[in-house]
Amino acid sequence: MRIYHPASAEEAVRLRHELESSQYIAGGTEIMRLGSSISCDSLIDVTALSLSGIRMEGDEIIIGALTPLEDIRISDIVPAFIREAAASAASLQLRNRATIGGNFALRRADSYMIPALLAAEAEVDIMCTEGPKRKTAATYFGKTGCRALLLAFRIRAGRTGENRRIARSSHAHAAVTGAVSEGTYAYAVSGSGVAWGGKESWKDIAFADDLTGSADYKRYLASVLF
Amino acid sequence: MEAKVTINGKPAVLRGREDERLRDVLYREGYTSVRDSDDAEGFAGSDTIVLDGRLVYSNLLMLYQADGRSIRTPEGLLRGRAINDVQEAMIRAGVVQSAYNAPEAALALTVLLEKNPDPSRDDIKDALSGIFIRDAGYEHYYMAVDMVKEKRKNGSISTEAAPSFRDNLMYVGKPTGKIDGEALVSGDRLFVEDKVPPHTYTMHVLRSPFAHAYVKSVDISEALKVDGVVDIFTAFNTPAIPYMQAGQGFPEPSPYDRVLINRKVRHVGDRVAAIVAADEETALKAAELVKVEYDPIEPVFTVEEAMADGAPLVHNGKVEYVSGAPDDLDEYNRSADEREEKVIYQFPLHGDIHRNIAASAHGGIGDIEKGFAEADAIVDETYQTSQVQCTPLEPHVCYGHIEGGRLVLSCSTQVPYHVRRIVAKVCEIPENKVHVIKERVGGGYGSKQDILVEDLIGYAVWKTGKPIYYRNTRAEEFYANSTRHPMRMRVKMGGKKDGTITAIYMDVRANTGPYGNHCLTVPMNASSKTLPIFRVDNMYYDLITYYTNIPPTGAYQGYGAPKGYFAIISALGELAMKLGIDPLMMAEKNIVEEGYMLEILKGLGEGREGAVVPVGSCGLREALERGAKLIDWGKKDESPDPDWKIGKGFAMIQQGSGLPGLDHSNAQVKLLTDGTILVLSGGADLGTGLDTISAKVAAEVLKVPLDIVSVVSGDTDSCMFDTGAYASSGTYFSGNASLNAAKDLSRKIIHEAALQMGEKEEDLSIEYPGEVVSKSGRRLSYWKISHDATAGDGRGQLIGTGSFTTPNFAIPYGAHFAEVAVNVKTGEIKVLKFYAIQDAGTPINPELALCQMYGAAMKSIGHTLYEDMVLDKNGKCLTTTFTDYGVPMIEEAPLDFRAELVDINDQYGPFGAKSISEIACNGAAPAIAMAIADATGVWVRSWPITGEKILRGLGKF
Repeated sequence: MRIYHPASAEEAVRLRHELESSQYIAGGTEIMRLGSSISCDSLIDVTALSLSGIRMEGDEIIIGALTPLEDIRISDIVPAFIREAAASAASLQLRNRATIGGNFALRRADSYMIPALLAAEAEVDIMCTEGPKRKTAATYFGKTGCRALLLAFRIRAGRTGENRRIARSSHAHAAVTGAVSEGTYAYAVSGSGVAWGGKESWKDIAFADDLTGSADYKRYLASVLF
Repeated sequence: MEAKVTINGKPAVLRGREDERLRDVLYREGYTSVRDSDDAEGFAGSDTIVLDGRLVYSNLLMLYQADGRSIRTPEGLLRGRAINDVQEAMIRAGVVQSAYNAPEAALALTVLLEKNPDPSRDDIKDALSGIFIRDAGYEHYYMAVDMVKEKRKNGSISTEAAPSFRDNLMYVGKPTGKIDGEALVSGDRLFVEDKVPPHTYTMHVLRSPFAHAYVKSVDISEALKVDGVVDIFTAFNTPAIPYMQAGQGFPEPSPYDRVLINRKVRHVGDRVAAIVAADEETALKAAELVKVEYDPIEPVFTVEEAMADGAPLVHNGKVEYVSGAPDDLDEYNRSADEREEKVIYQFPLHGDIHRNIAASAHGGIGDIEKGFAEADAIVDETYQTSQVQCTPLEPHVCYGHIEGGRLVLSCSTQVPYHVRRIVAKVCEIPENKVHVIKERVGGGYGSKQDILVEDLIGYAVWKTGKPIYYRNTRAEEFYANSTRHPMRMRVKMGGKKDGTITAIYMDVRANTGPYGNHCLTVPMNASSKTLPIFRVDNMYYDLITYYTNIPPTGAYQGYGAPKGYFAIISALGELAMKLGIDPLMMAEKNIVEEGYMLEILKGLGEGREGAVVPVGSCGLREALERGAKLIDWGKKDESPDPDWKIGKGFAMIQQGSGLPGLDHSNAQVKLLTDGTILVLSGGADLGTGLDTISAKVAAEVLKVPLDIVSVVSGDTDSCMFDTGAYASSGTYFSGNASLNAAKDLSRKIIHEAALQMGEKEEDLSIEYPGEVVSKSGRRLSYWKISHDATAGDGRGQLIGTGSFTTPNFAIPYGAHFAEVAVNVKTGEIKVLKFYAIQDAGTPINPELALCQMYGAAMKSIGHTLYEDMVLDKNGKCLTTTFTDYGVPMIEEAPLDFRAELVDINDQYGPFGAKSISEIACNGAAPAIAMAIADATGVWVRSWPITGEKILRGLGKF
């Protein structure tokens, strides 16, 4: 494994495009985890790029992509349902290393953060080969295989919402995770997929059996979650 | 790379590859308290460190990520050899038991208290959210934090972790803390992995991808060419010596149905080849070059598949009997397949391998049909338990080497003497050539009663002469280890409207998997530990255990009793519901009491006729009454949220204290030359505090301070034989052996003192702190007695010897109560209250006893609600991580969780003690099932009880 230490976001993105088998690394909890979904020859460490931290800008809350979930959990300014989503990460040790950007970029269907951020209609600042851009989180999420570097998440201050997570236990993968914020709903269903939009957007998901439960069970849960 | 770091406040340089796991580097550099329980899953917390002030998993960090950072490890909690106040409190609270990650828990709480000197319960829960505790539960960690706060405020800790028992005794029944607590919580180098010197060879086991197949050939020629490979063992170059891996007393009630490496694999993960190499990388490289040709056979996975007509046979070798062979054995063996291993029974277990039956039994009392005819209502339901895993934090591990021409094995085992016997057999050497050292055991729970790795390591070391270290991966712990036998239990129970149970019938069908470890005795426990709790005239059971191709099964804390109690108490609850009466009233009307003759035991002798004995000390009724009072039984609680329904349930439970007539323990107690005491116990302390029990009984008998008593245990060279730590035998058997040895030494001290003092023995007595006192008032210290006894003209060192066998039972009883909330819309389940009330006789270590009750109840809650081994259609285990398997963490602990001890003095146990921890596995499943039925009207009759099953029962989808 070769590890690169770019000095800028631009350099990181350039490396990500030049190195065919490469990934960004921040906290590293996924890359280092037993049974990781990530396999690559090179790692691009972006921890030196000052992408961590939470601040207010106008009526927006800016959460740096490398902000650990624990910092979000204890934040005074992050909306409560986003903080709750961060708190659902299994342990303090993981929350201290896992980042919001890493969790979102993985696009896992049992993600802690994805439903909450999609329901919050968050925007993301990203660095592409063309330079910095701002997109909706939903747009970024839908573009799988995107090599852009997540820089920050933007959430409107005062955004209200609610999270629901149905898992057999605190450390188990959630069968269904959902969030609703001011009329926008988002659902993440283990082994099945992610959907967002209206209350019944869960119907777009192709439900499948897995260790968290049967497709029928998860379809039912999604239907009664809110 | 060289990472410049600060470790525990001092500059240091860590060397290694930049992408190397930080945990591995830290351990290699001597920070050995930083362990690994999950192969970098980021779950169990044994690898927890503090990085720049934050708690993190060191397994999930690369070395380069630590460069320039500040690291704290548990070693930094010590000042010299002195532990900090958090560690002290953990010992006093009783949570330091097997302690594999106790130092990490101490680190987590220390950091918490640095940041927040007055943490809330939620703060403590969060601090421990990433640390898996299997042995002691989580409840007393809150107490430990309170103790720290008290000490920081008042300068000392006055809080007692448990009540004291027996005012006339100094140490027994008092919460003194474990004698090895400081060493364990400090992270001393006490475990097998800590004994492995540099340049030790490693072993990798190549395992079967098939659940059922003949191994036609194994070509190791290319693999042997790999530089660094020492040897490769397969079915074709190892001896075909039949044995079995269950660590039971010889002759064992389990068939010898395997050899070291079989020519037929019987589960995914079965051994195919064992590669000994200089390092892991080399072994893995060689493994890829081993060519195996399989001839797959259709597998069977369930009892139903195994019992079907024409089912594939898991075993079809020649059957032999050491005694009690049937007359038609030659005819029976005509169809034996020569490719298969023999099946040898030490005595008849009533198996029939031609029908996949490993063992069977039946028996009972009274007239079962008459009993059902007298009933006003009958329930007849079938209950299914799942395959669950012990999940010790330290996986199965062994280090072996040759020393002075003898095979020396450092083991994490509950049965060192069975390890010695079985390894000697496999190696075809006498027992005097084998030295087994039981190191500290980082969790056993029954799985380390079985010789699952020591046989292979012992053989490989003996054949190669190389020092070899082997450690199961966490995944191997699931698919190549031992688990709880899945069981299908039909219970038919009849009762009258007045609550009298008129008849009970149990039909137990157990799944032993590929081999017959404990195939009779575990399933027998489903009946033998449940039916004797009932004062019912008509009871009968049938038992059949089947071979299948699931991962191996074996012993697990509680043995077959947790499964039997799930079935029989659920049936009681269903019957009470059908009769419209209170299940608790029904239970109280049908329980045994002291003096009741246990006629049922006659038919529960595990392969031989059982002895009928009366119930001895029995705190069952007190436990039921206390639990009912605590939970306010009969009062229906309501949730303000209409989606949440609340219900209550209970279970009455019993276990045993070892195996009377089978178990055997020995101990020696030596008077050292300065008058201090050394106990040599055959008993294997697996973290439960057995060494502390031995020390306490010796100190009590010899009237000396506890801190002048040391204990060496489970070392087959220096200690005397003991059948091992299983079947809840430790306190009763090994404790009684230590007691008898101490009494013997006491007599010898008096005898020697009489000679030295010129007094009559009957005029002498011993007094605290270790003196012999005569009626005339003369005193002689143990130091003086021992010094003169060992002088040039002395009569020899004073050594007491004690053994213990018994026909008498010391049965622990108890009752567990649960209050559960169920969301009938989403199926979510919360255990609101759990009260474990138990009669352990005199609890010698009361704080450890309480924590073991919490730990065992948590395991049982886990089995009931979360844990599940799932196989795919080919028999491959899909749940090979803690996360996928689903062990409970601190968040899963009941909101109101209490363990209490009923004060009962047993007539046979040492100082009145009985066993404690196994029984605590028996209550949660039936109590929770009953509570869920009370809340929702749905009886879930299979493990795990999930939201999905409840919602299906409610007809939600």
